[in-house]
Amino acid sequence: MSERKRTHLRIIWLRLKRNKIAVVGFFIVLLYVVVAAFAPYIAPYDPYKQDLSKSFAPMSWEHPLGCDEFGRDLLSRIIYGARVSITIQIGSIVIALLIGVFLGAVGGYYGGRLDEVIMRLMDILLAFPGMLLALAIISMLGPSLRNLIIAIGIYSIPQFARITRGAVIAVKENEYIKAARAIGEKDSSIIMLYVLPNALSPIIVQTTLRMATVLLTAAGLGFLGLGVQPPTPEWGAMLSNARMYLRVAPGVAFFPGFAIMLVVLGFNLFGDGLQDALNPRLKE
Amino acid sequence: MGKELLRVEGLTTHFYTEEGVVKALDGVTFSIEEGEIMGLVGETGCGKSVTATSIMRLIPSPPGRIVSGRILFEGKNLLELSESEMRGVRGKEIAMIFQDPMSSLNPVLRVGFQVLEAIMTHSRVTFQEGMRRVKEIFGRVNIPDVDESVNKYPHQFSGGMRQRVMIAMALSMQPKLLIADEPTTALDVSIQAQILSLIKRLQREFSTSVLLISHDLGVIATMAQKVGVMYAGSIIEYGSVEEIFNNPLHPYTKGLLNAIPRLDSDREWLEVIPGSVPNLIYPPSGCRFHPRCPLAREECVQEKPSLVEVERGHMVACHEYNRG
Amino acid sequence: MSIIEVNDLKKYFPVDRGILFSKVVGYVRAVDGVSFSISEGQTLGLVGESGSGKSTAGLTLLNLLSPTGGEVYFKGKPLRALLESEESVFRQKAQIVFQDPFSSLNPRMIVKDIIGRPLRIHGIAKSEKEITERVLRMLQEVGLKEEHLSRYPHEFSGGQRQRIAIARAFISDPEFIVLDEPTSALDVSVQAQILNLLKALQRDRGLAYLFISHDLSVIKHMSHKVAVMYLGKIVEYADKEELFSNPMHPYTVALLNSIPQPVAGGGEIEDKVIKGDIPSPMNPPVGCRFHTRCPVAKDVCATQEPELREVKKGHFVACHF
Repeated sequence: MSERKRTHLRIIWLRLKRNKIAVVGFFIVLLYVVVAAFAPYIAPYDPYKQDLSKSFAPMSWEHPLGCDEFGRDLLSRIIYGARVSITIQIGSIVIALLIGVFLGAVGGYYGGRLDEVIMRLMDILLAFPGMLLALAIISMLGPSLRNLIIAIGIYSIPQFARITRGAVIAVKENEYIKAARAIGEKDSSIIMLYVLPNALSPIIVQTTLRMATVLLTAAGLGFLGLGVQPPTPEWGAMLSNARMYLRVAPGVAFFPGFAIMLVVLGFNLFGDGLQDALNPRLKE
Repeated sequence: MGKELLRVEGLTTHFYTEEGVVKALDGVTFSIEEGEIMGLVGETGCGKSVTATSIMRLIPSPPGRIVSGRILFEGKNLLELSESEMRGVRGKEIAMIFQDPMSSLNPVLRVGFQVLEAIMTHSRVTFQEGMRRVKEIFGRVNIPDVDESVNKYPHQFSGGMRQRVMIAMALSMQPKLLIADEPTTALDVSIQAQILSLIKRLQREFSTSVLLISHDLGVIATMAQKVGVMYAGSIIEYGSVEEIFNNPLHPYTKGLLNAIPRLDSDREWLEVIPGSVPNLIYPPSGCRFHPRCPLAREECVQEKPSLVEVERGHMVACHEYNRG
Repeated sequence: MSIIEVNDLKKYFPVDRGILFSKVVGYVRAVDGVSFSISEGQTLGLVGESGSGKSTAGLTLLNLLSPTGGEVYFKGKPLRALLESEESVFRQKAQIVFQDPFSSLNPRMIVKDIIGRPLRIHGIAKSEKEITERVLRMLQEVGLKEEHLSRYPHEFSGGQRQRIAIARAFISDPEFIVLDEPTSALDVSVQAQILNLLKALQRDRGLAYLFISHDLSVIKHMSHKVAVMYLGKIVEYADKEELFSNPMHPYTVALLNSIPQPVAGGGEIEDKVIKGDIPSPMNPPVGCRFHTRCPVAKDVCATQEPELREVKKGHFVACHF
């Protein structure tokens, strides 16, 4: 990497650093990723191991967050829950990116009929209120981790398509695109080498912000019992189960709920900060 | 020898940016007499526009700051005035026109109203009297169909016409000094000639002094009586237009004059000044031109030459001429 | 042999109005019947102000804009046919350098790739090693250094970027280059460097240039033949020396007189001024397009459009006088 490129990234980082709130967001996300990645090393107990004698054990040194109704260590379940969430996020975003960016790029670049058709398709998907689409797909396919990823992935496609299309249309007008055509580049090369690399910023920001939405959606579906099935620890499902025991052991509801809130907040703050940092475009 | 209207001494302006401190102006010194047209010429980044905005105290701060120097206008140091006092000067005593009229005119207001606004900010007149003056000045800048034109919007005019509106606005208060920052750079050649001729005529009629800023040596040669050549933040040569163009002394000035293709001469190759304009965050030591100068010596790296009078009124900042 | 021959080239842009159902309301006749030819090793200077259509002519010639009418011949072959069968070959042999060095380079590509792309597209070089070698050689030929290969455009000055753009245009070994105001956005000292470079490259490779500019001094310096455009048409066309020593069309004369010269007290500007504004290309004046501003216009000029006639050997003028 040339030293100049490092300076380029460094300036983005500096700008990001100045926005203290975004930095907080960044560290939350970082914590989340680390926890998810190193779960087996961090979690004190096996999240599946039940010990009915410890049912609803209160917070203590051995069980910092207490235990759930089956005596499973809550902290460990939350840690492993991060893994589950991040898997869902990565899986669905990859689907949404691959399909959404492709459709948006093609529609934005060629315009005309093709663009119209793609946009109408996206509109159809967007017409479904909130989670209803994901819900519908899950009910068709059946609740499981894989289907959850597919459902949320599909549900996220239109946003990526729209953002990509907007960015592509803006980039398309630049003179270096004309120059590319002048040296004889094929359309597919132009999109891959010239248009998309310059349309990245909004896509990156959208990805970050979308992570938050995906998490919420997954938690929501988990809450409804349509997501990952027990005993897999998933924050939304944990929250749902805890409803019945709110009087007895509020912690069992509070901590998963808090985890959801914290991570969603982290992604939102970081995503916002990223948008500001990428935006006053450097010398371009 | 007329009376001195503006005297700039040691003007130093810095910009504090993410990448470092841009030392845009490094001790600029010159003066303009009453009724005189002074040209400030130089390439991109030499600081000519910054000089103009410094005089008007319109430097965005942050990140800019006038670090030192004096700007004496009719004897008063403009840098010592309060902001509200300065506002009384801007537009009334010193007016400025810019390269791109579209960005200084409000697109949603009629042009007549904008000029009227300028007049009414600085003088107590009735609406009728104000409008009469607007129409009068529109006529003087040769905007056709004055009565209709005052009611039009900026986008309804061509580039050259918009520039006339700007000039009208600037001259409406009959300022003593007009600063024109690249007023014709964005215009076509045929329109440029019209605007330049207009500025010259109005300058005579109103006895206004003009500080004309341009990168175009031809424009400067045709319009100015006195010329200052700027490079990397300071004036490196200064004198009458005849002296500068017929007898250039500084290696940069000579290089510049030889690098332009001319209608009156036929050369196969243009003479080139090697290298490029320096980065003003890390400017060269001593004389800022030394890395590109064919005459550079040890002392050029060590010490920055000051402007020294070589012949009557002709000043150069170069160690080659600084003897004695 | 003429490398490029253009015959009655036209490019009209439709103008539409209406929010719901846009209807074509008129046409901007940016290029309205332009003809010229350029031989090997020669430069044709195309000069005009804004609205003259000079840039549009350059782009249309290369089919970067699709022509509305007329024919273009590349080395004797009609361009239309060439584009269908051998577009890649044409793109290799005919190149363009744009005016704005700040927007004509892909901000996300390093210099090595920017210059190297034509080699890959046209399969000119076989191995990575060969590509790198050729790119390096080209880079050095335009006056840049090896260390610049891995950098991004925004790290360079305007003059350097233009050199990169030139390297990109020349690496595929073209025979014809359109230079669209290549130095208008650059400082005087940089312009001199770039113009010298372009001349050297032309001399070394025997290239044909179409040099587009609004600056008559630069045109005089670079061209062998000159065509003056006004509102989409060529009004005068001659060898360089002839045009500058003996301009005949009133527009050419006025243009030459209104350029401020870097000569002290270059004369009073008052009498050299062309009256009026440049008319919009959407509504060009009837008859001779210049008649509204012409100092010698007569009645016939308002009704009849003058043809481009050969008034002296090799010197063409479109004027009733």
